[in-house]
Amino acid sequence: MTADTSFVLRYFDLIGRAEGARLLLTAGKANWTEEHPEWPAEKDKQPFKRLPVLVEKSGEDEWILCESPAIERYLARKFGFFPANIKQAAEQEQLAEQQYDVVKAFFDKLLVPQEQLEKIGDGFDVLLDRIVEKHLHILEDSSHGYLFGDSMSYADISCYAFYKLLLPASLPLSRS
Amino acid sequence: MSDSPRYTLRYFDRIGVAEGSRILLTAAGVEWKEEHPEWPQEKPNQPFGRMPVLVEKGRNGMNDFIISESGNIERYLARAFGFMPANIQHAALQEQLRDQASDMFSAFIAQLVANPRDKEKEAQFDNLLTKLVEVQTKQLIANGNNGHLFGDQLSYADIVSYAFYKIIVVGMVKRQANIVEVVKPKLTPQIVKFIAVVESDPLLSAYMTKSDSLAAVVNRPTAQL
Repeated sequence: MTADTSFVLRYFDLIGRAEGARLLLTAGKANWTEEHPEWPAEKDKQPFKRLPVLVEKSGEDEWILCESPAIERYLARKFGFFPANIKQAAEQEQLAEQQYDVVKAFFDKLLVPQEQLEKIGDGFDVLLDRIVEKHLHILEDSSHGYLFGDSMSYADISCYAFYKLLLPASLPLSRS
Repeated sequence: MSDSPRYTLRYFDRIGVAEGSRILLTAAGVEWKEEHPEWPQEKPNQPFGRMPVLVEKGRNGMNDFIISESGNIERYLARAFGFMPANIQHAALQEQLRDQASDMFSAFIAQLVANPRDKEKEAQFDNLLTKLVEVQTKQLIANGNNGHLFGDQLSYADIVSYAFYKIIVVGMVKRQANIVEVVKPKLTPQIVKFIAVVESDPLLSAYMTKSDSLAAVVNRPTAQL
């Protein structure tokens, strides 16, 4: 990364879908700032009319990327948090993808009428139980406390961001 | 050499979100087979209780490599078989398109299952589809209108973008009878050409001869470029 590379992350002033990107930019020691565009006033200025948006600036050049999962994977690769081995990478991505599905199911549970929920697939409670079990299972075998290997990886960052988003928001929905 | 394929794709017997993976496995030229596990009986036997699942047989005594999540399977196959660019910015631009197409499909499902009909959800699907068509068309034109989104050969982006149109326009007809009339008018000539070019790629001929044609559904007699 050249000395004059900097990043702008555009999102709402929320944890939401941007937390993984924030953590990766921080862990990657990037020169970055966050913008909170006026919404919906600035919607049409965004490439896909949605947020988050990542802007990478190098000298005069600007490169723009959208879609929070693509942004996270790009930053993780750029800053070396992804294994080079594509099988190991796929195992980490699998967890992240499942986490996105749990978050989506959480919002479906809040917003979608009960009788339509069944048609969408496994519900929030089932998916949450399953991903927690998976995280615990992996961590049982971990001697260093990381999900994979002996240092912080993309999977650790995205898993942390997942719980950070979900725990405060979902407490009113918890069954215990 | 073993007598069964190295790759197995587990899914339901329908187009669904496995289509991108099917096409990638075909394009890769590897031997693969599909399994349709009894459902929901075989749910506990899947890593995340869901499908699709890709099983790659381990070699030399290694364990089988098993992964879930359609987007993840597609990216793994694309990287394993050279359909994803090595440059991470180029890869990210391709992945962005797939993620956007996937969001569009989720919005389609949300409006499909809404009962009664939900105008807001229908508008959301319409907006995402319109935007996706606009972005893809712009990219097709910028790439020289050769029927490919990037470069001049079949890429990951070509395959997954084609797959999402097929999932909706061919795969969902039984669940939403008017879907062709909804989607087809929105497709630009560049996208119609793109669909035809992907479908006729020599790498895919083994699969396309056995599968429903998306090009046949979206072609218009006057499509000219």
